[in-house]
Amino acid sequence: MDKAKSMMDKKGASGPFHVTNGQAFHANGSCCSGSTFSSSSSSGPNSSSSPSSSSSFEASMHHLHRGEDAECNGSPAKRCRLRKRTESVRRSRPPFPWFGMDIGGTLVKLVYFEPVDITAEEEQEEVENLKSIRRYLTSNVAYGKTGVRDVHLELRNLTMCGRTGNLHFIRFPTQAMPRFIQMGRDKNFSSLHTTLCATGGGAYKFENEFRSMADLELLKLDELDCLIRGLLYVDRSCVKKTCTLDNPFPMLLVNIGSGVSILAVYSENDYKRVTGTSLGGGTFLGLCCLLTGCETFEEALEMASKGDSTNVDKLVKDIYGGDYERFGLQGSAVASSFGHMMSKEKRDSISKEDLAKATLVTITNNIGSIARMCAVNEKIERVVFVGNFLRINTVSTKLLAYAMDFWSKGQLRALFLEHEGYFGAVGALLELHKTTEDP
Amino acid sequence: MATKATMKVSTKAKRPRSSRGPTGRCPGVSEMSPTMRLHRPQEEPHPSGQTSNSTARLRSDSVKKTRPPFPWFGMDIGGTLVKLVYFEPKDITAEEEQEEVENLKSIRRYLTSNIAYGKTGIRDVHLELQDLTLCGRKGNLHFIRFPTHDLPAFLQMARSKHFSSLHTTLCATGGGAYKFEADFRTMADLQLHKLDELDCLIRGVLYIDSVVSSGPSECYYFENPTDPERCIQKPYTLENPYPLLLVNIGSGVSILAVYSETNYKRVTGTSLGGGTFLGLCCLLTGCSSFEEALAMASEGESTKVDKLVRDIYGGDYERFGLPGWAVASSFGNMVSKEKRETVSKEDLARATLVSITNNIGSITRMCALNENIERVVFVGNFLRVNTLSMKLLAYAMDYWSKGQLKALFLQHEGYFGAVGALLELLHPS
Repeated sequence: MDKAKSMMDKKGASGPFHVTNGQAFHANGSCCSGSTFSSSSSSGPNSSSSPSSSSSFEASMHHLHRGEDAECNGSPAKRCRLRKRTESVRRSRPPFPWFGMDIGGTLVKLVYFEPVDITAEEEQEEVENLKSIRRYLTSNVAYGKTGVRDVHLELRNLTMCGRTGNLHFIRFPTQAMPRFIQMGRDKNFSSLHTTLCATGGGAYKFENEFRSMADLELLKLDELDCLIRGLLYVDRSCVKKTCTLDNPFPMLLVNIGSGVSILAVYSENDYKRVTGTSLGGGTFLGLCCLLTGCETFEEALEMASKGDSTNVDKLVKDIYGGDYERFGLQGSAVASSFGHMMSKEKRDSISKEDLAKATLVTITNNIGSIARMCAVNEKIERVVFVGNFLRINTVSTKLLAYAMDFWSKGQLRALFLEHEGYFGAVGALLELHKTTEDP
Repeated sequence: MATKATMKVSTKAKRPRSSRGPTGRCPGVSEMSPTMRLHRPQEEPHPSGQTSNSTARLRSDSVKKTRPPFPWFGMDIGGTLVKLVYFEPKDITAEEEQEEVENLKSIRRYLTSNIAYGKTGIRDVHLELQDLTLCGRKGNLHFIRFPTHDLPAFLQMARSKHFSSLHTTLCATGGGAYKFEADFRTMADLQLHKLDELDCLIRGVLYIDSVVSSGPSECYYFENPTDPERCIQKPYTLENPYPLLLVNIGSGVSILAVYSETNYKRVTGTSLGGGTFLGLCCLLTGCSSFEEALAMASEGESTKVDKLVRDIYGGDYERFGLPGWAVASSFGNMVSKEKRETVSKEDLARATLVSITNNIGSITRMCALNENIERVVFVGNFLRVNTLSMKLLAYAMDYWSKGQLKALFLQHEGYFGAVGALLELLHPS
């Protein structure tokens, strides 16, 4: 497998370790706040003659496509260079279309920036396939059989890299990836010479397919870096009322996708992966399909909402006849998930809905329990849950909120974010703007 | 008839025995300590050497007075299984035998001449501890189990054998000691002396480890757990065992940090335990017993069912040290209809076992790290005849901690609570 050409220094160590992203993320979360965009060639702290973002990179970072020299050190000629760079910003803005892609274990998340400030001139010059892509994406809410645009998540009139536009959130199953790549080929995407920033495991797994089937080169990015970057950006873009995450640090970030990663985030640039668990959203859906015959996440949740897991699980009171007071375990707590199912009688008396609910409750509570342990050990009070397991899944969000509060006696707080599973893709899109180099 | 937990003299016994409640103790025995190596095989030391025969005789007389009457049982009524330990005295004198009441004799004979009881009761003969000295008596310790589901049948039997007339204290632990307390009383006229399951567990572990001095070592570990050709069980001495992380895997799981015999805390637990494994297996494969589920699991391939890191990344996720073979999403492949159609029941059983086991391992490792404890002892009947899980746990502890943690196992797996309950009968704390 190719080594990732990542913006970050690749540390192939094992075990939890800190990632210090020497990149200083601009305070307002966007890569640029005005019309100028400071490109990131300087590694020193004095590169900020430009009014907007100061992006100082560690010397170890390498820019991939345009062979940027990341090591100029604030020489006297720097100011002159910077002026020229400001002027060339418009030229060095990445060409449209602007995508960020997160190819996960179960779902592909795609964010697409639709410019709404296109001038007549620009429109005239626009190549046909670019126009067609824009139209296709923005005039549909469903694509093929399984692609969906989450319209309710759309961020309108966002300013990114000096352009104003709408940010769209699209998802489709990773299983449909071959078809997506086909479409990329049919629409001659590669002729647009755009960089396709992609994160998630699939960015590595499908790299060759993108190249061979659609002549597209992926800029591969680490999923956790993108997750954090994307999360902070969306939350700070403050398009909506309040920012959920005032003074967000430190926070425990629990990303519940097919599997689960738990990160302790100390600052924008400093985080570590504390642990993970393989009992995630994929487990919930996989087990549900097996146990109930359902076929989709929505179906599984629908069934779960109607079931009673206490018919399936063995509770403390089923074993103790009441509470296990000595260790503070209430009678209603689950002692053994699915514990009743070893009895044939009980198996014959429960419904598919009960099984779906029990699966949901089991997976959710296990994640909650592990998250709580991490929060206690890392001494962090704020636990943010993200990932598409929580999409339209109020049962789980409520359970997690309750569990965090109850078991910690009010010490821990569970937080949830609206854009749930899309942060990785947003982070990838943001990286696109960072890779823009000077000619 | 006595309804309180005090022992009365049997109307048939000639030898005067003063009645003692649960406070009756065997003098000369201090707190059992695992570091206290026994002077003679399986014998309790006396605090001072005996010098004269008369002193010895006096003491043994007084010991008899404070010893609880037979039969000596310890019971652990769990969520799925009832564990029973029974002490069979082998040093019965002719005189004693003559005096012995009929039902006591019948109980002894019934228990020791069978290895199966009714449809579901089993005596684990390979775990029997012979020539044990307990409270001045010599005998064999037997280990018996049956499903909690069959407790009513057990109570019926106790009633028909007039167990209550023996006026013995029945020390019981586990949730069932509380849940079925009333049933014991109404169905068999028996009063339970209820004990906490974790207290008994620890007490039982420390005791058994200290008395097993011949035969296979009570405590063992696995060397080379992932290499089937080279993987072997090796004995481990649990001297100076503290601090210890004790992971009890029954229907559910409790994780305890043990700092000394009398100082421990329940760190956490998880509801994904042995009951989950068996329950899910029954649902997914149609099996109906733990042994069946394990047999299926041993023949299956969990990687067809689970989504591995390499299924998502195409290889390792190097950055965070996740090898391609690590499971990213348990049962994650089962979201695909095609894949569901190609896996076998055995694969599903295996995946269930692996998921539950690895989850326990993962949580355990977090606890060990946070409590700063390097030694982890796994007990509980989930591990009974389940070498697959033991090896998985051994490997996981070692691999993910880079050799810092050691997974240890004990031969008497799920019986420690019952042993602890028996000890409370004989040496009340």
